[in-house]
Amino acid sequence: MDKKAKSIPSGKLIWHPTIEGIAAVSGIFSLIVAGLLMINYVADQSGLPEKELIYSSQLAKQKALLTQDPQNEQLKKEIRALDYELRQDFFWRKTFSEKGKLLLLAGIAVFLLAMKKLADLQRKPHKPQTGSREPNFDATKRRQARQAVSWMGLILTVGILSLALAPKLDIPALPSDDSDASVVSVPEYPTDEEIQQNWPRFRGPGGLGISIHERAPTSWNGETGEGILWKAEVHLPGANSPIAWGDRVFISGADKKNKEVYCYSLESGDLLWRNRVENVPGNPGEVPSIMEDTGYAAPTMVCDGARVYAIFADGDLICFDFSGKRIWAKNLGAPDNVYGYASSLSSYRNLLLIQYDGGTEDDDQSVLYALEGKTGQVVWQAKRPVANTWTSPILADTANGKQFITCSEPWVIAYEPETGAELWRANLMGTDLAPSPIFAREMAFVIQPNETLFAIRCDGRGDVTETHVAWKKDCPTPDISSPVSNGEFIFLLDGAGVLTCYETQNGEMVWDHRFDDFFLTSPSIAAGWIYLVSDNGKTYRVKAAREFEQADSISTLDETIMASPAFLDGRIIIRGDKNLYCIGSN
Amino acid sequence: MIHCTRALPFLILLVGVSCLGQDIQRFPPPDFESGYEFPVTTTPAPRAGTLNYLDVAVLFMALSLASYLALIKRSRQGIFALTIFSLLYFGFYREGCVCSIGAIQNVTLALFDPSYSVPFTVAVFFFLPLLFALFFGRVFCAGVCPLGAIQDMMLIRPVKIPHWLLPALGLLAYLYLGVAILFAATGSAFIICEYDPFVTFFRLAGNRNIVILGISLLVISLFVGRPYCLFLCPYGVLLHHFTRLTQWQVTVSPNECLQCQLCEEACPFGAIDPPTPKGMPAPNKQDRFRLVFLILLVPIFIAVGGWVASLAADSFSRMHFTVRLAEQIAWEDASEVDKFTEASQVFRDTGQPKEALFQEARHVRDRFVLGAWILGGFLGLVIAGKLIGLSRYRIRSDYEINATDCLACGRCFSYCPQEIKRRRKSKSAPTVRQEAGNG
Repeated sequence: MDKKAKSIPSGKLIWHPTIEGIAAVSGIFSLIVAGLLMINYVADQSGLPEKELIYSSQLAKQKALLTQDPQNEQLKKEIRALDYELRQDFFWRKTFSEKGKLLLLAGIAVFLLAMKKLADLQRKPHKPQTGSREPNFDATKRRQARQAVSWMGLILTVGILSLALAPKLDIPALPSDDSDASVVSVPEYPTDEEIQQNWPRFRGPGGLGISIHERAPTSWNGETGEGILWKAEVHLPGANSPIAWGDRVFISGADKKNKEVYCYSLESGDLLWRNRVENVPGNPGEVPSIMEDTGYAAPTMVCDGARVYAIFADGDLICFDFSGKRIWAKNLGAPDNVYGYASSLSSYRNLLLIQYDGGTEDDDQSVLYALEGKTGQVVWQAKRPVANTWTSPILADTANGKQFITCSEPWVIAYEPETGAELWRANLMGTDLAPSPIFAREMAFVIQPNETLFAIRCDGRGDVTETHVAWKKDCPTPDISSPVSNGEFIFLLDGAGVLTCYETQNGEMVWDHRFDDFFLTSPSIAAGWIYLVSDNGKTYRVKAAREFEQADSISTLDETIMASPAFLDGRIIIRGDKNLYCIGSN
Repeated sequence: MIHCTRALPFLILLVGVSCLGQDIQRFPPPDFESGYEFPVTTTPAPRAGTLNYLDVAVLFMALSLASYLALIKRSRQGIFALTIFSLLYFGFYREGCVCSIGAIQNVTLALFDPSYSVPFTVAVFFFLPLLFALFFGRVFCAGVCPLGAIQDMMLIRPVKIPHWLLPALGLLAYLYLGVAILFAATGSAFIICEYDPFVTFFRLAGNRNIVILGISLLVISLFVGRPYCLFLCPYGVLLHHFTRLTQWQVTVSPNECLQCQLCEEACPFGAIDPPTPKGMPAPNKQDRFRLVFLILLVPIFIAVGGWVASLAADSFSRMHFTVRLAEQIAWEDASEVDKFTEASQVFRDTGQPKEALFQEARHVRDRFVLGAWILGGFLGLVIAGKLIGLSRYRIRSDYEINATDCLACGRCFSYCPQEIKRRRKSKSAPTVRQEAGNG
């Protein structure tokens, strides 16, 4: 029995050579794999065995030659062959590395287990100790430990103090940092003027379908490209309309599995960012069953000048900044709406406003939320005794201040946007509402599809059903499209192509005209003309005036259009089912 | 023939070499002239919800099993087998995420940012091991934590760290915990995840510096039992304090302690406290004065700690993206840097007012000043608490497991003569069936 064998209990001797063998084999195996990985790594990192370097420089040279002689087919072939060879080499090394790592891992694991077992076998058993330690043993150890803790405390203090030696933050001081008297408050929301210059929500500022810009494109042709600045692919479907702020255009898209928000450059149409909407806290993980035409991204987004917000059929609500950074997200719970949720988002100052109607009027499901845009925290919420709807709320600038006007079955309700306090309500509406209200001449105009147009004075309080309905007109009103008004007249466009003009003052019909087309989008007024975009991509222009006058040119885009266009200074953004178009001229 | 001692350099070399395979290789995309458009990069779909529930179920089962193996079965082999399972499941299969240690940051962020909600799985991973610690001690560390498991696998030649050094090195974990909470609470970074030293091994890829950090810790783990757990783990700090209330704690000996000292030799973590030496002098006047003096100094420790840390608030605040961006924009405006960064370029492209950014950055910095005061005060309190604890006299008649430091690994079981005796007795005891047959 040799020296080592003596140190190992006899019962374990039988295992010792076996484990040593396993350790040796696994160790050598691991070393070989590690060596090969190292060679692979060095070859990848430094270009050895010079293959990579030669190829890379050769490829670069050949590419440079190609720029001088772009028609040289032989050179192109050589470049392709070289590129292919390089790529094959790269992926071979990648696969080798991945498989090698797994083999190395397995080898090391076996080696470690064997080594641990060997260590156990070779460990000399400790002899049981008898007798007590010295009387001062504890006190000495405690003293040493206190000293060590004190030294460590000192080291930590010095370490933290060394951080304090770093340069102070170099951020320009604002006047508000120095004195309370000269507080400069950086606005957290855009001014009314800024809102008017942009198209921040469904149907533009206030949701009224009015552009203040005096320049608007008059004709374009999707087939020839005439009058079209750019077009960009729409990646996921969505009935929501484009919105625009500054040099950016935003839309959202979704199908049963994916939800995304897109940001395009207004100048070039480049997709600046595209973000998936996922991992939203509170999402139940179930896709609601909805009507196919509505889709999963029917509500139009809203922008408050610093952030954009999007909401989807499953109740996912998300906020991004202009750079595409996700700020916050939450799920509001899928609303009970057989057609699918479609009410567009609104904003007022720093608040994001969400008309979240669901169920029937007795189900107690409908809520109006006001969330702080920056954080997503609920600032106020108001329960609404209404049923689900497709309509979108509007922000009316009345003589008595801003009113947030909603239209659902059976109530039209106006709220104070700062607080959510109810201002007035009118019991006028029936079922299946889609056209959104508008505001003009101090009146809210609401539509009961295929039946009645109501004009409600906005200076009432409480239930104004009997007191503030200025007039009502029983007529063939639209079932989808929202009306538009220039103040003097209100224009109604029904799905079958009948455009009707009424006086806002008394509801008298002024004229009507039938277009041989079908419409789902809502009309807008820009530069004195009403823009009517049909399902099949045609845009008609009609003068917003007492006399009917149609522009000669009919502009076309060769695809289905369900979304209402966005109007900017000299430009129109139109979302088709396949592409996003920017109409205008340089 | 391989001898353990001789094989160690070889092992270190092997582990070191393995890092070479860790870098993710990149290759430029091909040049297409056919108008081919590259697909937009998309994020993979989230993990299925049912699998998250599976993780929770596995965690619960593993904690229950660890409790059973440590407290009832008293089986080191069982705990080691569970350790390997946890390493494979929570480490290599789940790639180190979700983990209880990192969950500290999620919970912290949720406390300070109402718009952030902690996912269910993360919340369970944070609270469940703490709940088990309340009843059964640190069974999570024993055989469930993949970070502990990978270090445990490496421990071959344990070297004793002087007992008196452990409290001092343990301060690093409090520092790490405090800083991690500060950065998570301010929405700056999840540093526990960013600097997880072992996640690169679980994923077989990662940042080179983190790989080097991980290898360093693994090499240390060859000699020092679980260095990350003992001296750095922020979750270990929480478990340490929760186990003060533990109902049922692991014991070394199933019967009366023979005071053979073997268990103390067996424990690589210094978690066995020896009995009080015979004839130990009673606390004298100086000892009592020191204790009172330290207790009176606690507010001073807190104040000084807070003040020192507050001086570094600017440096801390640079971990926040908004502060870094604001400073970069300011430098660019003052022509102190030559180039725009990608972030500053994107910010400028948005057209947002710089004043708003500066104001936000200063607001963040103010939060860091408050946070640094709290962090420093906390560290001051911890140091004072340690010094006070080390100034108190405790009387122990036997070798006892230090409940707060014990990782319930079960190494000491087989060293205890009483335990060996118990096992022999239970093996030789006739079963009921045998007795019935004999009868």
